[in-house]
Amino acid sequence: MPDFPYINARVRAMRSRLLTAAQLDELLGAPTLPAFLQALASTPYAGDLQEALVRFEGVRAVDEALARNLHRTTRKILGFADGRPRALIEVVLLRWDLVNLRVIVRGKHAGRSGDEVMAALLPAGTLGEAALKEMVTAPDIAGVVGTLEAVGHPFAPVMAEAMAGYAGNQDLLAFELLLDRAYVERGLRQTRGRSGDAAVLREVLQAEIDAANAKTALKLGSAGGLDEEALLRFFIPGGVLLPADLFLALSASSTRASAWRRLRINGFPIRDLPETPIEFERALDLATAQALAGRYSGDPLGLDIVIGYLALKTYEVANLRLVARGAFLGLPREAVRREMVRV
Amino acid sequence: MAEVISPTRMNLLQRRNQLRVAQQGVDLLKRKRDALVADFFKVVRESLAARESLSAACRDSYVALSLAKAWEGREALEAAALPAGREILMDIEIRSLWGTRIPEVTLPEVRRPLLERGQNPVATSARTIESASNFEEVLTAILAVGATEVKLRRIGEEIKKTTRRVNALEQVVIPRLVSETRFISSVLEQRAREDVFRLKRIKKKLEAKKSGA
Repeated sequence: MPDFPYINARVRAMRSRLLTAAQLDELLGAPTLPAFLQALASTPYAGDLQEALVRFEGVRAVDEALARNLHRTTRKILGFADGRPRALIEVVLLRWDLVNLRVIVRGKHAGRSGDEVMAALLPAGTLGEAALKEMVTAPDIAGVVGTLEAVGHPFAPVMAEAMAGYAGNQDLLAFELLLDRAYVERGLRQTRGRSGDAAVLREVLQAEIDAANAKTALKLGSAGGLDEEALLRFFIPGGVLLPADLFLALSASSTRASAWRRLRINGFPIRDLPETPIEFERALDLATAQALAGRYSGDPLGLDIVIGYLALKTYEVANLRLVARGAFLGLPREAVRREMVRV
Repeated sequence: MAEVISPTRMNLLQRRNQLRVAQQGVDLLKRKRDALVADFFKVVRESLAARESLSAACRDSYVALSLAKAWEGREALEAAALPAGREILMDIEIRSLWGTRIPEVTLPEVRRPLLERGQNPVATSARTIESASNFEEVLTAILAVGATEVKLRRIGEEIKKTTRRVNALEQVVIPRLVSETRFISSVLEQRAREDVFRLKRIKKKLEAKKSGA
């Protein structure tokens, strides 16, 4: 039964294939998209890029290659883990399942075609391509829930519960919010206990919940016009730094400054409150990325290495997407560099 | 084949009447064309401004969309757009300008608050929200361009039609009527002169007969 020392040894070997800062700078220096593609073809993404270029061209091919590479990476990590380590890694990967289920449910709700929905999926979670295809071809959301139950996915019970509500009122937002809550509840349930790995994952999840709640509060604050009850509908319980009352205070412009001070005292990772939600998200994403990537140098015999590696990989993919678009649109190099998350 | 005209006084009066009506028609059509041209240039200015604001909105929006796609991934962005489809209804009122039916479009409010877009604020990033909001502005600009260009096309077609009518009247109908009037007048005058001459000859013969007797 492979345990974290074995898994981490494999993950460290994979880490060596991540792009170095010099390679990323070389890609950033590509003046055009063809030059970027040429430079990307001399990195570990070459194989995925070649396959993607057969079916797509331009930025779309880059997106496909990066998505395919991320998918292969997560499947590979899952492939050499089982037992408790696998269960913990699956909790980390469930966020992609959540994204994919959201896409499928939205597609069914809006009556979009299977191809259109399939193109918007990123099979990097625990659900494989076959299961996702099965769900996409289901005639309605009830069919999606049926497939999830058949594969024994942890979201199946909550999807069934959400489906019961949706059948009555067709409220997609309520459906999605139930799913979001179920994701964190399940994650926190799985990480109960005193083991070091469970505690690490719990901390990561709680930071994720706090970040999501802070972002939501500022977005809703900008939207305005919602009463407390409506605002609390979007609050995800389970965080440690940002309780519900602080969430409400942060979403109202009159109490935002004092709420921010309390949040800073609680230990929120950003020093100053940026002016716009986009700047706030950029700063928070950078702080989150640095915290997650920093875990790579954490416990060498624990889950930290996997979490750190997955963060490094995810941000590398995001940076490459950004550089590709910069090259495509001819954006100034400094503007692209400013948007990138360097960890 | 030229029409055979009976050189009668009645035809002459009819032609003169037609000529007067045609000249009044030319005058009216020219005034209509001037009014349409004035309106056309006003709409051209509106249309240019609408085009410019569309270009500016597109330039900013596509950069913002690219950045959002890079950060959230194409998948997340497309997922956010899945439930956001809707029908946009516009009020179109028909205004009459010198008898030309011109559509006046009242642009609807396209921008929607966050929750009306069907997006889940927990799962949708601020970049995506900003991007959606930018593209709603692009949509508003597209509708404004469409509204002004429909008007422009209608007015342009009407100006062309009016110019064709003016040209037809000035270069075909009026010259024909003038030449027909001249022809009838000259024939009638000739006839009158012949009558006078004939009467004078008869008078002379009658006087010669009387003096001989």
